[in-house]
Amino acid sequence: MSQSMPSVKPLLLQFQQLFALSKFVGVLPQDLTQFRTKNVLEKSRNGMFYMIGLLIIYVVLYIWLIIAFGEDDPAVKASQSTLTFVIGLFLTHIGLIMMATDQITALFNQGQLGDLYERLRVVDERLYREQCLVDNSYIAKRIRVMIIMTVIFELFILVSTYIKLVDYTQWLSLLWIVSVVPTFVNTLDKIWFAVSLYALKERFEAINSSLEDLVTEHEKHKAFLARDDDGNDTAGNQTADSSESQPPQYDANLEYLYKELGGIDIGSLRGSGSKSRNRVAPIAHSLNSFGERIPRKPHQINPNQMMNMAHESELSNATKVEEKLNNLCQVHDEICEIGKAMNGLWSYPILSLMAYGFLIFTAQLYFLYCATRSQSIPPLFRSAKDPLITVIILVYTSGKCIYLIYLSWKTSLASKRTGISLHKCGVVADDNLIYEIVNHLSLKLLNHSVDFSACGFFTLDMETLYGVSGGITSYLIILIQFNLAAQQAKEALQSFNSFNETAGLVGSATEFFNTSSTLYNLETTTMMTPSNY
Amino acid sequence: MSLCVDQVLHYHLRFYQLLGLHGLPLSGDVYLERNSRVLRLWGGCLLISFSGVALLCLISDDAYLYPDDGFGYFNDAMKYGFAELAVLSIYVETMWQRSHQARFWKLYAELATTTTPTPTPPLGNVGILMKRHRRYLIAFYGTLLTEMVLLGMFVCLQDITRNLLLFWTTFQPFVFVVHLRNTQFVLHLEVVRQQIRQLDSELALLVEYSGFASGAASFPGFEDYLRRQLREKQLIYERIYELCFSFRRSFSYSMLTVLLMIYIRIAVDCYFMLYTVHNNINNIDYFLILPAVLHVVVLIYASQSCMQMVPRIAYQLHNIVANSPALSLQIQNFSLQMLHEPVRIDCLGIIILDSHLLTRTACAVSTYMIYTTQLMPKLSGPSE
Repeated sequence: MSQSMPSVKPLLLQFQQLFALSKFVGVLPQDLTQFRTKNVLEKSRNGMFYMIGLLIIYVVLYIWLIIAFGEDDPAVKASQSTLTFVIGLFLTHIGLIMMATDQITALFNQGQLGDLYERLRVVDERLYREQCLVDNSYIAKRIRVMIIMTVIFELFILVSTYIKLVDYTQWLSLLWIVSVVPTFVNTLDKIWFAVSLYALKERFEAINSSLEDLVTEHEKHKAFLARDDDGNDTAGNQTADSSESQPPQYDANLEYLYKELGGIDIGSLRGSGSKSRNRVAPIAHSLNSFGERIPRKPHQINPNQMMNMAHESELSNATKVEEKLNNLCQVHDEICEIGKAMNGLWSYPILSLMAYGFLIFTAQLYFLYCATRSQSIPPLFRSAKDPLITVIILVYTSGKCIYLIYLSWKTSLASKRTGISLHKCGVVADDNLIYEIVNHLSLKLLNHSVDFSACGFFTLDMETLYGVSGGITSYLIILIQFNLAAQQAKEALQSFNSFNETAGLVGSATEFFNTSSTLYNLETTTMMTPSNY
Repeated sequence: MSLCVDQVLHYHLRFYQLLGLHGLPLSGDVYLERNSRVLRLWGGCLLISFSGVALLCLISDDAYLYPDDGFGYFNDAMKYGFAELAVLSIYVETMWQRSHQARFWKLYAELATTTTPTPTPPLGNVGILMKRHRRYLIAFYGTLLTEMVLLGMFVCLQDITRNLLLFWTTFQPFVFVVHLRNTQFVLHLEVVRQQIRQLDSELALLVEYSGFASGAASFPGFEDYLRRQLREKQLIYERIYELCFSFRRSFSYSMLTVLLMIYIRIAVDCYFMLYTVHNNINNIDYFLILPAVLHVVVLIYASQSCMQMVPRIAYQLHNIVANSPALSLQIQNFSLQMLHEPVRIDCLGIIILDSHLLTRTACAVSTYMIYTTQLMPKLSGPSE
């Protein structure tokens, strides 16, 4: 314990840059100096006030932005279709809601987040004692790449929209900078979640690989023993040789089985030596004299004797293995628990992100359609006027959502993989005691799997993507249909009005038919309009 | 890295190699390293030429895409876009996921030597091989023949306009590659299914013996023999699981995009069918979606029959009469192992290839049909 303490570096050591940035932007309220010196997340009252202050400033600025750009052009508002207007009104605020959810959740969770990483550190120590080494050095690189990509995306969207689509002659246009704040804050918060999740996945994989190592080590060991036995056999043990290459005589009762399943048995007899010996030998052994063989042979032959023998492979020693497997499964349980706790802490932010992603994706595509038809769109969605910026925005938003879903799915898969590796150990060791342990732990693992969900509304796995993409397509088609209908109604109305005007002009010239002709026109246009649909 | 497979598989894999769909050298090849490099290069060339064709069709002013209205043009562009996506993922996978494919065939060779009673049937005994792979052969030649016949009928019956000529000469190669890729999935799935079936029949034998031994006559050592046999089966099952796993790893992206392309094509062509019938346009190319539908059904049938075998194995396992605690422990262990290692064929976890998918696809296509039928008069209205 004492020697492992200094060698296990806390995970939070890798989060230095991210924490400084998050603290500055107002994503996390925890104490900065404590984090710098001790790598722990501790509650901080000042941080809380700073963050609340920032939140209020962001909200005020954003609302100002909405008002300033909303009043930009009242004529635009009048020309918008009702549908576009309503969608725009609702969706301009969803970014704000998402950011507020992130920040308020972070404020509420500020004590628990520290505990989470502390538990993770304890897990690392336990893993270290089991000789499972987890390499944290990639995590700092990952964080850096994520931050750089976020900055590139945000900057590209901001700058290109500002230059191309905002009227930058007015000083008020500088307010447009505020439009990136919600997404940037949100992305930083999600980087915390994503990287922590990735760390969990690494730990599951470390457990799995250490189990797999046990298996390969044992297989090598068995192969080594088999080679050793072959050497002994050729040295002159004729009886053993004959008992291996063909079914011995006392097996006459089983002969028909060998014939039926002969292909398999003979195939494997010619294949790996260790397995075949394991299969044929026990009976031969129980009938032959016990002590005459070399000491390794009995254990090799009779699996029940295994635990009396001391070997290089850990799997041959059932009691030692029991301890190791138990420990690993306990650590696995603890990581699952941490995963669930982490999911709990981030459940509302993830839900709001997914809602945001879905709505913004649909809206951006819809507004792109509107823009190609040269209809007016809400001022805050002006980026939809340019297809390239739209594509970048869509990639950025969907990338964030899909990466989180993908990572949750991968972590869940890695946790389930442990059961598979455990069974490999059991089958390779082929010892009754180990089978008992494996069965017990396997049931435990089956009952204790980790699945991530957003507040229980939907699970974060890849199947959700199928549903979401289907939803987006359906809504898009419905929206376009409504838009088309509204557009055609508007055109009909306009043509009716112009028709009316000309009719009015004609009517004033020929007063005689005035009323009757207008009425007639009204009748014909209204009758004809529906037939266009 | 060379593969040792029987003749039927050998010839078909060679065929896939020629199309750049299979990136591993076969057993008869002499220069393994050079061959795999050449195969990769060939795949790259094909990918570039396909991408060039797709790009040409999308940006050209000529009538590659439907010229009469905007919606039809958009639909055709979508078909090309998704076809290009499918071809891209197919060739990229062939070039870069070779380690998983190699692992698949290595595991298959291992399993074939341990399980099949006659690992290498004598030369010229094509009958046995044909019988063994009959499902795959029917799927492969059946779909290919249907496609050819329909294409021939189309050429004979249809008055070819410039748009139709340009569209079909450029689009049909994509369709061929994607459909052949689909038969390649079926080939792999069929290989997995054969292994599971073999395991099932061996377990059934064990069940019979155990029943006989417990009811009529037992002899010393039988329980132990049974236990060892079960352990062998566990090892085999583990390999089958790995086989399935490496199949998923090596084909997941292209499976997804191939299905997506077929799905988009069916949805779009159903729309065109309604459109042409509604407007009395002389164009019968919509019946060429029939092979696409057939391909989806064949793939789902193959994967479904693969997945359905696993519960049967569990059933057989628990039918074994266990009289000793050691044997029952082994059975428990096997059963738990199967719970942990379910054979599940999915594309990146997004969709599972079972009959339920077929239902969902049919529902989705009909829903979109309703939407697009509503759009049809509005979009084509002004031009009428």
